Amino acid sequence: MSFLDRQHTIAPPGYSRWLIPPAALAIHLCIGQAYATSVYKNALVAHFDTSLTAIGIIFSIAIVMLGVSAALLGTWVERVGPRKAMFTSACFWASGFLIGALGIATSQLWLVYLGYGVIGGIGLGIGYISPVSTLIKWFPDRPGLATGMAIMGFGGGALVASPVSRQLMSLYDPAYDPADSTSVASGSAVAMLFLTLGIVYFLVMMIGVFNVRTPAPDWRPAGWDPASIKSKPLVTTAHVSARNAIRTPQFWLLWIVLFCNVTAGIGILEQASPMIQDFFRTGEASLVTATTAAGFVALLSLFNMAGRFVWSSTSDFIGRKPIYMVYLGVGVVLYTLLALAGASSTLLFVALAAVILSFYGGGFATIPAYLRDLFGTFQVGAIHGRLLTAWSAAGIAGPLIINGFLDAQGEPGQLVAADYRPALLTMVGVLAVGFVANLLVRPVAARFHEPAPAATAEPPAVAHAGAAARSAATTIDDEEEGR
Amino acid sequence: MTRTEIPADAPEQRGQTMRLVLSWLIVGIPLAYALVQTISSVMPLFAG
Repeated sequence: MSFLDRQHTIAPPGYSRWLIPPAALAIHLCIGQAYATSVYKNALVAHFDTSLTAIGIIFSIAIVMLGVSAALLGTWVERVGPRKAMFTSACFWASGFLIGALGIATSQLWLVYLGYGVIGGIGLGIGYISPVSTLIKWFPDRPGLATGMAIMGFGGGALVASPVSRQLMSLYDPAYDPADSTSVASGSAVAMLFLTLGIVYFLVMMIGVFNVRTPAPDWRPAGWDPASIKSKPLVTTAHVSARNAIRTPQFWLLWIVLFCNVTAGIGILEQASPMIQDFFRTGEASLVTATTAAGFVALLSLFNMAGRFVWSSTSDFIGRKPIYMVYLGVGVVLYTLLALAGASSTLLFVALAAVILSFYGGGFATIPAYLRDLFGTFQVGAIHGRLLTAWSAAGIAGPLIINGFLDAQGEPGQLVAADYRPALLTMVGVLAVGFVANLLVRPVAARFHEPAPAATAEPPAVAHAGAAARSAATTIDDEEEGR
Repeated sequence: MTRTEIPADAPEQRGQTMRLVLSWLIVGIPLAYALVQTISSVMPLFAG
């Protein structure tokens, strides 16, 4: 399997860097399915004759495993290179579906926990961080654009998986009507869906595996001057290891920034459908129907996905610190408006929530470029993996805050706009904490930098692996010459 | 390290262009499908 080794992924001269974003998208579009589990949630509840909570645990395990594996395996991903990491991710992700399918077919819920939750979750974590460092190295001039494209794919993955899963389930179970929200697919249809998704996702992820390449150590984009980085105060040309990064205040400040941004976004995402109905409730009935509320949820998904690309790309021009001041500072204003004036107009409510969700997506997509600015490219993937623990923590804190406040206000279906105010104003406080944390970010102290090799300006990892890389590149070049 | 510049009309270059188009199509088509599906779900929000 030497094809998967790092030295065999060095790009030959003339290799287009625009092949790398679709390689990354091939991974992220597949693993983004994790956010489409609600499509078959009710079918699994009926099949296993269990509670919604017991089925919800499958998703929770997967997200926890995402954070744990990204944090623990980040350094391994950096060491073995993107191709082996993507291949490993594809194996875990596809195996998760296949074992999950077996669990559903044999009515063994623990097998679904183990398969989709644990094994699939490891695939999620490795897959999420696997293309990040490579994209940043290929796009030193536009790191925000590059990571924005990939991480947009994660948001898009759910949008693809939801309608496709409904169609597949109706194919495997003719009694299931995807247009009827009360219709529930049979367990065997969900098992077949898992089997199909496992195979298809493996094949699509293999396209990413075959296309991904790392740039040669001396490669630069045409017309790009590395000296342009030195003119930006918060962008370093030095390199910090993942081990050292977690010892810096900057890492923990960004952890707080990501945690606060995600917590606030989840506050809306978690409750989106009932929230819009409750905000416009008059007596027992709401002015907003369930179908309209579903449209609102879809609109938020679109803004979440678009924000990843648009805001992350914008950060290349205005800088990473200023863009997070926008996410968090403008977020404070929008959240306050939502709490105090959101009930005055449906249009205002929808517009405020949509922009807030675009900031939520933007926060996810811009963080790898922020890390690259502060810590360099040496182990940026591994540092990103460790930072994703903030996502896991926010995944617990966000729903706890919003559900905790709402539970204290009254029964679901009886709540009105004013009942949401304490929860939303708490989120304003959370965003304000993130804003201050971002304001405190300064360049990383020189004592955390890796020592620069005496004879070359290359980063340590590149210098260390330089001989092997150059040897591999020479072989490829010579082969091309020989043709 | 010896390197050869590939002329713009070389078969490798044409092969790479084909590969670029195919790679973007493979990820672009599902994304476009998802966008159309999602936008059609959003429509009821503006109908009322």
